Amino acid sequence: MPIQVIGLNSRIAPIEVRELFSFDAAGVEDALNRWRVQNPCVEAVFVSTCNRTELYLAAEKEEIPSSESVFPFLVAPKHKQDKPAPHFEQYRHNFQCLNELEATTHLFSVTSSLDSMILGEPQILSQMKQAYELSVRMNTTGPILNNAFQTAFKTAKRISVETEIFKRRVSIPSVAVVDFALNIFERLNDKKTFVLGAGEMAEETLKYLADFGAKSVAVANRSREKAELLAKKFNGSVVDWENRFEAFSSADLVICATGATEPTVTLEQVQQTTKLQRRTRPLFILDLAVPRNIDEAIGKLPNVYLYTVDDLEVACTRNRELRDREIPKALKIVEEEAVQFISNANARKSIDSICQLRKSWLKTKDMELERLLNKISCDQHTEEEIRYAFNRLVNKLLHSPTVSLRAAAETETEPKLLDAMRRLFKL
Amino acid sequence: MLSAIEVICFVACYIFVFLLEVLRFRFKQNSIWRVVSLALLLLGVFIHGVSLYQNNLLQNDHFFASASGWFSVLAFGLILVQVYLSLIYPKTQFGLFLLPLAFIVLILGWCASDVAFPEATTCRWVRIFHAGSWLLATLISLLGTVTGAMFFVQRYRLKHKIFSTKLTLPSLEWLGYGTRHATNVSILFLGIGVICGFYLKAFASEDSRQETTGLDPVIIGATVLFFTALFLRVRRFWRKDPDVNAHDATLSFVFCVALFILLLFAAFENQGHWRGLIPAQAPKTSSAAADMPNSVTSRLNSLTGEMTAPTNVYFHRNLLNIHLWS
Repeated sequence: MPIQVIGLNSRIAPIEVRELFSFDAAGVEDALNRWRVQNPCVEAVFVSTCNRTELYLAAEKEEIPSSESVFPFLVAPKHKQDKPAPHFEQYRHNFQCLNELEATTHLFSVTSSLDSMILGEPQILSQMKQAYELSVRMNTTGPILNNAFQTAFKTAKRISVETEIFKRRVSIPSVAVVDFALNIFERLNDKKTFVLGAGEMAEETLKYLADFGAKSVAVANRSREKAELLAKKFNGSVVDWENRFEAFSSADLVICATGATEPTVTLEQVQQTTKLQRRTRPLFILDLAVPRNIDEAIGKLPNVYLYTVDDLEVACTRNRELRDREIPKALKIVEEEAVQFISNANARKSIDSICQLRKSWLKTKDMELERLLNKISCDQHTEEEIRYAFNRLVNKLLHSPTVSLRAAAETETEPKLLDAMRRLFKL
Repeated sequence: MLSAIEVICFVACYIFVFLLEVLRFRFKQNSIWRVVSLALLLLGVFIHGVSLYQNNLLQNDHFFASASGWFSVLAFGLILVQVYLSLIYPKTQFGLFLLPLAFIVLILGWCASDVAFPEATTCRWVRIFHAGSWLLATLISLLGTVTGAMFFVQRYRLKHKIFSTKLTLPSLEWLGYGTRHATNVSILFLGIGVICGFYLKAFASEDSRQETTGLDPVIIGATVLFFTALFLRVRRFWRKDPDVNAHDATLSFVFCVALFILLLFAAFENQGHWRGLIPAQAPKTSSAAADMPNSVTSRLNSLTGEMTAPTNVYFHRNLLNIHLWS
């Protein structure tokens, strides 16, 4: 089955090269439009992410165009405007061209996030789905790529169910929320979240918390403007920097990510204004700043759970190791699915050939039968018996080759026997 | 006494389920694993239920007809809770904490006397309420102990930042809530049990045929336990303690242990706590006790001396049980 992938990714091409071949959504649409006009019988799906630009191609009857002729479709339109178009030979070593089983395995690995920079990152699956849906909309897909992409999504789902790759989180904010906050609190929608600082880390963590239902958010920052900006994004309120200790003590969850070089909250400061030691609800503090912003002594109070970046990093590393351990299992699933996909495709192709063979034999049988029946005169019953015998003879003669062809098509990645049969019987 | 074969069957099922829970530390649990575990648990519940029905309901009219039956019903209740939790929280290892307690209760049930409680024609429903409230108090306090133990493990893990993927526990908040409410509800049921007990005691004392036994240590103990636990619970409202959940978990454990001491005293006590509440009459003898070989009976009679015949048989049965299990 002719299926091919041509493109470049972060493993074989540096960022300077990837930039030349990086497309936005409009660029992909344009490239697919051009492809449909120039190669109407070749199926195509265009994938362009920050880590890869790849064109998946397939054709049932026609030959897939060579890498050289595919290359112009992979050049980003913005690049064409600025500079002269790059030559294929110049970037040949940055491109990979895979066929058949290799191409299918690659597609399944990419969709399952086994080929990503961060193993198990979930975005690639949605990016692949978007790319496929766009190609379906642009009418550049056909039976082969439809089937291939559906199987790829099924494989990704199977890997997510049967292995731990997607389950283990590896970013600090996600680990903080999923592996720790949810071990302390049953739900987050009735908890008060207080954020000290309004940087990227705080925002990223708040995003995860919001995903898990956190609603009540209060932000305090030295620059009130930044605090207001962050609070607005999460429908939260702003707390004056001077009143941070009260907000700190009344919160259930504190995220601290300021750029301060000294602790912004110390035990003495909190005790002067509030009764932190008398609180009966658990307090979960995430000190994501380096140097640390929260006095270590606060973490020793009962019912207070203080985690620093280092604590979370340990969990991230452990998760990464656990993910890595699952790679062989995931690769085995990809291999199984790819081989099965190719076998099924070959089996489907063998059915056409078998039908053709059968038709030609039946045609010959009918001709010979008619000739015989015209020569001899016989009653109705005898004629029926002769017809029956001829049919049985043809069926019996075709049985073994049919079985062998089907078996060969399912087991062989290259259908040699099928080709031999076609040549032998001139199909 | 439950049929030995039935007991072995359902205990074997529970042991397999427990082993599967332990093996989750080593192997990843998949859906087949969960189905097998649940199927074994349900099979055990079925056999357990059938044996309870045969041994208690059919022979003695109600489930709380003997100390042994009472403990068996308690274990059955624990297993039903385990089934429920396995369905609702399939990834959480409740069985690791709950099943050992069920085994302890089953062993106690096996050791406890299966001599039927004396028949009583009066206050039948109060007696059932009394036994039922004690059963629920014990069951819920056991659950409180389980959630309390899980709370301590989870709190230790979180406080010491131990990142383990092997043991899955509910959130600290859930465990704290569960422990607190389990203790409250079990205290409430203990209160109902004590009130019913007082009523029965008063009723029995008024009965002219009853030989009153004076101060019953079980009743006194239960009353003291109830008021102490109630005081500690109420005290929580005005004395805000930062580690309140840990205190709840400790109280739950202590309460459960105290409850069990009282229960064991009632179950294994020579005269039987319940016997003082029932009009004097010959207790039912179990078939096993009645079928005891003459040599054993005579030997035990020589050990017990001057006891009346029915009391002797009852005492022999207990003694025999204790000897068998000691």
